[in-house]
Amino acid sequence: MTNNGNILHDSLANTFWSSVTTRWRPIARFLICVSTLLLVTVAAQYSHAESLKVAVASNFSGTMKRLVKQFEQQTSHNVIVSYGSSGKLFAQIIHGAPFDLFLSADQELPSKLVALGHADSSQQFTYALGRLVLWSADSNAIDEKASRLKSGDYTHVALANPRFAPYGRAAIETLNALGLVVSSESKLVQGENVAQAYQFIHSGNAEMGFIALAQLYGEGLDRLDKRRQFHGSKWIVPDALYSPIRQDLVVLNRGQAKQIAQQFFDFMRGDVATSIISKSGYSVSTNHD
Amino acid sequence: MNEPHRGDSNKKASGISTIDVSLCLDFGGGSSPPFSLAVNVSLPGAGVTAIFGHSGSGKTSLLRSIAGLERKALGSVVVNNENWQNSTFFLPTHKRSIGYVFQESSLFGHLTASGNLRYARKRAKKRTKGLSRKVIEIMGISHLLDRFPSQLSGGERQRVSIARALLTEPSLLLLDEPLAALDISRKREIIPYLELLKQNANVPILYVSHSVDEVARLADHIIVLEQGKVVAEGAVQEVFSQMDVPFSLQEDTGVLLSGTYKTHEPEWSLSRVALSGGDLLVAEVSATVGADLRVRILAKDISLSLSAEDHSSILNRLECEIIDVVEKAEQSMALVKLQTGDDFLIASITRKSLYRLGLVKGMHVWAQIKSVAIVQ
Amino acid sequence: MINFSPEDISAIWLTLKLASTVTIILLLIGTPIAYWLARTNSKMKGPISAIVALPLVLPPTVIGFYLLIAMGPNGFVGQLTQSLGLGTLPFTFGGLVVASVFYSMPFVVQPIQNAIEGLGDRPLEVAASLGAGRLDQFFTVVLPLAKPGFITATILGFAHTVGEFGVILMIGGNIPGETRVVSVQIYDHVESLAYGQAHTLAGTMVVFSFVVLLCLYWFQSKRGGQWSMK
Repeated sequence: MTNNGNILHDSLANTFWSSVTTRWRPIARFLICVSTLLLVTVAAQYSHAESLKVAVASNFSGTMKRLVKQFEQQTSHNVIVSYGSSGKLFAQIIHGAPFDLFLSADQELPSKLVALGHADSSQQFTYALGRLVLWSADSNAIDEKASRLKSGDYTHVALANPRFAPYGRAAIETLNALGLVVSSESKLVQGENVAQAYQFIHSGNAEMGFIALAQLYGEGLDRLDKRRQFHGSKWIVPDALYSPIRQDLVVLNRGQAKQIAQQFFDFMRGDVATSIISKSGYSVSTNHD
Repeated sequence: MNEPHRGDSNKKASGISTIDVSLCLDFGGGSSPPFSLAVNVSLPGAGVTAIFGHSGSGKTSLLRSIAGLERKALGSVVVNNENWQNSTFFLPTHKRSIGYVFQESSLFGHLTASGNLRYARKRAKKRTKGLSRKVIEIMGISHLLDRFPSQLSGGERQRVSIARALLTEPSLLLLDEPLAALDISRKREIIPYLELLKQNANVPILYVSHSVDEVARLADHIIVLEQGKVVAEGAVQEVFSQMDVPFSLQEDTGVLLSGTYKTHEPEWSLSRVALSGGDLLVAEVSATVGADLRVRILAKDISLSLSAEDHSSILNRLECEIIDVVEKAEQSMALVKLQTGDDFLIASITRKSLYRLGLVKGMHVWAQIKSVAIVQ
Repeated sequence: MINFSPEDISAIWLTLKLASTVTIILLLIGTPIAYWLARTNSKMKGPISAIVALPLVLPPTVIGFYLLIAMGPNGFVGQLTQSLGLGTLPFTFGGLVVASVFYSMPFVVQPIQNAIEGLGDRPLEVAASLGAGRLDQFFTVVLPLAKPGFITATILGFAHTVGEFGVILMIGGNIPGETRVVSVQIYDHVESLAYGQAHTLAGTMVVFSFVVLLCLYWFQSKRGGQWSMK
């Protein structure tokens, strides 16, 4: 019977392949591969009864990957992460996007979600404090006192858009504190976020710029810099020059019934996570309330 | 023909004006089947020369090459002692003194008829005073000047196109089957204008056609093309009376004869035309006594008889001598070439009749002519 | 009802200035390219067509990314502009013009190319037989006969530049009055949750685009093939 079955199977397979003309065979193979992949992906989504959907601000993406890896090892749960700018993720959430948790790049948006009834205030806390850095791709451009910034000896200084990007706002506060805003105004080039500001500086189009310190710890950056063999120069902006960049996370209504959401919430407050976060270029608030 | 380069300085030295064309053009690769044109002729530098042949024989390619529109055409073109092209020199189309009328209407759609005429006039190398008015009058287009091409009929468009070509005052007028795209009634409408053109224009005209009728009416000289090669060339009357000319096989085989208008027979509405071998009665024509007429007689309209018997309805009979017989074993029809006076006739009869009547070279016969066309 | 802030008005003005400049430049350099593409048998026709059409398929971020690098101080365009004493192009109006010219190129070249191809050889042959040289042929025959193609190209080139966002975001640096165009301004409004202002500007843009396209289709149906060779 088994043999018969195999023969039947083989002949069916042969008939199938011979009916597909040689010309179409690669395309048929490709379609089969794609549909198999699709099936596997869909199956994987449903096989884990408990999976967590997290919306994360882009600037935290490098750190988040390390955190998720650690969390998944500990719990064998599956975490699905969507990255985007905090503003976009916020807009998606209030329009019903299926996220359980939101890690914002600021404090304002999570608070707004609480106020709008999309989350509970008891499940909001500051998971990281962003640190601002003045960075240049040129290793001689910035000294410990950032004297070139202060003397105005540059054509462009890049920053994230201060209207909505927390690091952009911090950069403006810093320039204000240094009394440089008026003199530098026409030289400010704004990226929509710190990632773009980073790009402006990295490509050399802006001599220097304000970005998140965490960006200089990113994996991608290391690889790039090793290949191009430059490290640039930086000045870590003293905390006193700008108001703290509080990055809050909040458990959304959807996640409140999920045990895994609570688990992740607790994980983020724990020592392991705190240590990963602080090694990634953030400060960690000691005050958890 | 290796025409030496003749500059303008030699223009007057050479007495007879000719159009000397020696061209090769290969359409390899792209067009299938591959086609090549190889022509080496010297044409009269005045009057109408027909370039005759079936479609695909290379007529239009030859005309385009002479106009400089085929950059790949190699060889030489010398028109009335003016060098247009040789192995080292190529005068671009816009510098050749030509008027070109394309097969299909080619007026500029964004200009009115008069705009189209002005376009040509502005760029003419010389401008004879009063020519515009004369050309407009000859082509009968004065009432069409304000119209756009889209508001003209096919025949009207071609008349404007011809007028436009004339207004450049070319030294050579090239007409590429200007009637081909028109229906029969439009053709009839435009042919008189072409005849007027022939009488009035003092430029040599090359007229591409595959219609024996048009050639018979308009041309003085003819070259016959077949598969890109010249297979016959000469005065129209001569070429038409050559029986071995490849084109003279089908329906259109016939001769073209010159005659004189003799008398008028008003009670029968007939006219008498004198040929060198006798008179012909034809449908009444309006001409003055002594005027030259051109008469076309098709081979299929001639039957042969051994006696001068007068018991049939056929009016026209000419006594002839058989000077040649062409027959082919597998064909039912044979061609018989006849001489009457100084003129030649070609009759198409069955091979069976040929043998039944025992017709051979040198015999005297009567040619009964069923129909005659006055073509000019 | 419509209440634009001074920044919005500055962005609108800048956008119109950019689109007009780019359209004029594109007509000047796109026309010879289109003419060449329409009439050549060269083997380079394929590669050049592909380069011209690239912006149709590439995401604006890819174009912006490479333009940022190419026009930067270490890129080949940047080296060139620096050696000419022009500095570097990113974050300047000139930079936006260069990027937009590249990005909107197919929208100008293709309608003109199609229109010229549609004319065929005949009108040029006729003009040549009447004694018109190359340039004469272009201005007196090609230009008027292919006019609908040129008008379509102008409208599309202008509208597409107005609607450009991704590339400008990548190389503009969001400088008010210099590189902050309407689309970027709308993005800023949305990102900063100023939905009211975003609506005003975005709604204006929808109406503008609709009217432009309506004019285009109306024009095309009215003019469709009217001026052919007759």
